[in-house]
Amino acid sequence: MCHQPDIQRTTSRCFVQIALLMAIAMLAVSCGGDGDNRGKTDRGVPLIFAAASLADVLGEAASLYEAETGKRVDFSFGGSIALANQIALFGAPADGVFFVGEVPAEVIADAGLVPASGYPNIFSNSLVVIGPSDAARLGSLGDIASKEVRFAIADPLLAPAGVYARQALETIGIWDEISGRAILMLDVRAAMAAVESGNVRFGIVYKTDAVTSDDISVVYEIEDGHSPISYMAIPLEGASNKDGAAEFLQYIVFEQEARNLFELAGFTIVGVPGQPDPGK
Amino acid sequence: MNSDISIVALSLQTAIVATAVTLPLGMFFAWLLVRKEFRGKFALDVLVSLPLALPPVVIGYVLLWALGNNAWLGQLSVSVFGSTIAFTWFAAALAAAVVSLPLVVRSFAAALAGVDPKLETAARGLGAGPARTFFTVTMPLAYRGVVAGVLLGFVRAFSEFGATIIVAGNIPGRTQTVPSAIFTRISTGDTEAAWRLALVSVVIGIAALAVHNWLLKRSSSGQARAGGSN
Repeated sequence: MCHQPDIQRTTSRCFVQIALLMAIAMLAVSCGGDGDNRGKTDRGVPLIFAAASLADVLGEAASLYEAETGKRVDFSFGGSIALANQIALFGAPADGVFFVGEVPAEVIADAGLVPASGYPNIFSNSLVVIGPSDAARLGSLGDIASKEVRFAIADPLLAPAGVYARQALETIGIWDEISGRAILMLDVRAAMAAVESGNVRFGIVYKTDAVTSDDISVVYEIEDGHSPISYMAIPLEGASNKDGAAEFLQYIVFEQEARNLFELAGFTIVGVPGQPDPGK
Repeated sequence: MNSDISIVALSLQTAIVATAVTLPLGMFFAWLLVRKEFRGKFALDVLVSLPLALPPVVIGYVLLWALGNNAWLGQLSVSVFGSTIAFTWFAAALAAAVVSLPLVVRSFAAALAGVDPKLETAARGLGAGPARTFFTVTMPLAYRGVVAGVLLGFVRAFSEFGATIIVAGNIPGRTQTVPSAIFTRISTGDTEAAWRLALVSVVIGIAALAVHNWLLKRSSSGQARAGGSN
């Protein structure tokens, strides 16, 4: 009954069946899933790595863009410095970036990913101190020190919002005194969430972040003491879908409707050096 | 809600592919460790179990160095597929596979150890080859433990966070799994949405563990019966 060839056939059939089952399972998974926006079409959809502070407004801009052009854009939001390092050190597949601050721009420039034409600074922002929604306004930034409470900022090693906040506190000479009470968060939105949840009394975030939340209030506007907050949109040299990224970023910079979204969200439009003022 | 469904779908996809990797690999290692004596067995045992003892972030970092664009494996995938494996959902699946492998091997090893080697020897003596013996004698006796191991590996893969976020990032719609989406939602103060996905994780975890425990109970009582009739 058990001739040698028979055994061979049975066992190899068994292997084939198992291999087939696994192949079918993997195929079903990769074709199925939520196939409408993954897998094959990934190639066509540009991926933009963007500062956490842009999460809301870029989502709106992308909806507008899709409504007008029928093209989608994917995002990865986070601290600009952390995201720039993902791209420069480990080849994260970003097609374009929309970062804030000098550090992340330098990181990707050092990696040779910035086009020779450079990049314009397009939007600006400002810092505010936030507290619980019923908090009294502060008379000065130095009042944070006298409150003897913890405060949240973005981690200066991961996000420019933290760099600017530290600069502002250094300028008035209280950083060394109060840095031990600083809760360093992953990015500026996480810093705001720490105040929203009531776990931290104050936070230093961008003005544009503060207006997106009903659970906090602005208790002080920081006018100066830090370098200018500048946002830059850069399609990345050598990216697989650089053109797709460039098209979306151009749309944001030059399309009046998109610029209106940013203005509405509280960003200051700085203008585009070397280009005719697109607002006119 | 819609994005919740696609996040869960992506997580299921990564966990299923991770399981497809750990099932044959885990079975092979378990078989080696239970049935074979060889030099380096002790080292293999330690190596296979190592992910249990490491911070997941270290596993993610090692994978990132292996798969990133500055490693030869990453370079290879760039030249073949036009992009790195790192920061894709497949990288998330690999991370989940590595982290869940020790659990799968341990479960499989326990299941194989419950099968009397004399039965395998008898099958071989009757002329069955090693593969036929495995599939017609060992597997039918061990399958409950094996299925339990697969389930345990699957939920561990579904739950993987630390290694995943390092090697695959946290890109919505591409590599954002249920745990990384929960992390983002906590970080951005989106409490309700974070709880929603947390609830999904709890339900999947309870369901998988309940079936897992039921299978193990069945398999041990089955063995007790088989042992009693001997």
